[in-house]
Amino acid sequence: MAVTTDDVKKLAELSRLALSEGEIEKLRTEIDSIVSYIDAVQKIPLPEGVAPSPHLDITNVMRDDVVAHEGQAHSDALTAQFPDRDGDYLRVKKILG
Amino acid sequence: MELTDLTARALADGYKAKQFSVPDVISAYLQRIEAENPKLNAYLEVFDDARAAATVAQERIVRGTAHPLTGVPIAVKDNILINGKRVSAASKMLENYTATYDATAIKKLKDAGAVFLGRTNMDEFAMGSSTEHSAFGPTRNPHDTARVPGGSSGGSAAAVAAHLAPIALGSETCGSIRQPASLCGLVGFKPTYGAVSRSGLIAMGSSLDQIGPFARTVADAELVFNTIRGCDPLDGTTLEDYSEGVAKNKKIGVPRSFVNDAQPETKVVFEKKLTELAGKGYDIVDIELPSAPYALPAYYIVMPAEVSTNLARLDGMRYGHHVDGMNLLDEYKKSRAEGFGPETRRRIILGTYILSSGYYDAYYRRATALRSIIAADLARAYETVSYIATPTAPGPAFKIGEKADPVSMYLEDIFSAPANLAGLPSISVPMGTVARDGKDLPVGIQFMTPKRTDATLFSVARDTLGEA
Repeated sequence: MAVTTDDVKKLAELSRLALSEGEIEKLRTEIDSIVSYIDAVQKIPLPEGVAPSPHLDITNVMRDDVVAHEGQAHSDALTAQFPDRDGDYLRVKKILG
Repeated sequence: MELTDLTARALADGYKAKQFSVPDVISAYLQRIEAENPKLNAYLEVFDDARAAATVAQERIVRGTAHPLTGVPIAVKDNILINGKRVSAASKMLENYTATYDATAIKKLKDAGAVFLGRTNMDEFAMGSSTEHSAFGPTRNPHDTARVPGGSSGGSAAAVAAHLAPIALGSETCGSIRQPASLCGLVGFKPTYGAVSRSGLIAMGSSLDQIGPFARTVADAELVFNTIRGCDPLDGTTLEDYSEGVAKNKKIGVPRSFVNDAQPETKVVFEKKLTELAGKGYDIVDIELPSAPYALPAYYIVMPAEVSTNLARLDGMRYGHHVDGMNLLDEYKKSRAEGFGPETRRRIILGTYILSSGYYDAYYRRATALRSIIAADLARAYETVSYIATPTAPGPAFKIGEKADPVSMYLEDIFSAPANLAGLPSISVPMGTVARDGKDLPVGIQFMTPKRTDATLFSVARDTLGEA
């Protein structure tokens, strides 16, 4: 099934990418060609009861829900990289109308 | 012989015998990098504290408490975090980002006393097979600078091949260590999934990503792997420590119909190497891997799905490239469009498509099931053979700009995909050369073994290279 320009526009919206019309058109042909390639997976028959993952030998790791370090231990290093800040707060555009 | 020609093992021996000091070796490397790196663009940054680290390492050697990697210089792919150093994943998005902690692999190397020379170029966010997708220009292959070094860990491969480092760390999601090792004439090792912690590795495809070494000898690759491996509370997918026995037999399985996808000259070199291994007591047998050709298309479903999810966190708000906009959503969209390069944007869009409502069953669920079928196919083969061998990549290094079409680039990883999808360890070692434009270009042979049998790969790799 061919990928349309509207499909790519919708995908760009969902992916939070601001793309120009030119890029959308270029991506449409590229994604269409990649999708034709990956469609090969439709050809192989899947037997019943196939394992859901190749990593079934890995067990889930649980830990107590507790603070693992002292408060403020990493705050300075992390807040230093905020593009815009007010003290220790991250400043962003107004969210609610 | 120059100091920069020595292996990591030889450096350790030389330090012990007081033939030269760590500062001597680091100076030799810094000089060579200054002279050669402008031609290759292997390093994005050379660390200014390498000389100070050399002094500390030398003191440890003098005290007699050295690890075999103490004072050994190492290059690090630009997607592995070193506390306080910039780490950009070769992306404009993280161009000015500073790591706030050490990756577990880095912590282990610091404990061993290794000296970090610098961070190496790569395809942006590890997406590519040529290092052309870096936001900071392509890396060139030391064997022919008109050609690519492979990717995505192309900077690390070029650095070790050009003797700008004796060893380097790379990372692999599908072939990103083995394929550049093949194209640059090196040993490249992709460990069992879960053998090395992913903590501090910038995530691409989390069910596939694994850190591994580049080296010029099997012994050096093994030394780095044994230093960085181990169960880690910071990565829930790391495996409990496992002991590896010896291979049950010397049978090497060759999936002939799959290998047919390699270029004719590569196949000639591959067959010659197999004959040589037969002369060394290995039994070469034909095997069937009917699902192997589906591994790469399945990979191009699983990986973009994980990419679009992992890279969603990069929105220019808390760190990374930020563009002002009319409102918050506009800022996200502009920051991401400007911060990510074309290949990254392409894979995010593809992943979003694959995970869209209505397509999930047709693609992601099917590809995940295929991973299990591929793993089962491989397990069946390992009932009779100890190793599976194929060429590492279809051909030698290609020219910069040659593979402009995305799918033609993706096909570079056709032989890599089964090991990544099934989580198996795999190693690439040089098997010979193929002539192109009057130059002899290296090509590699890769071996795969079952999960948790990493050590047996080093033994067949040593036999292949004739290493003691």
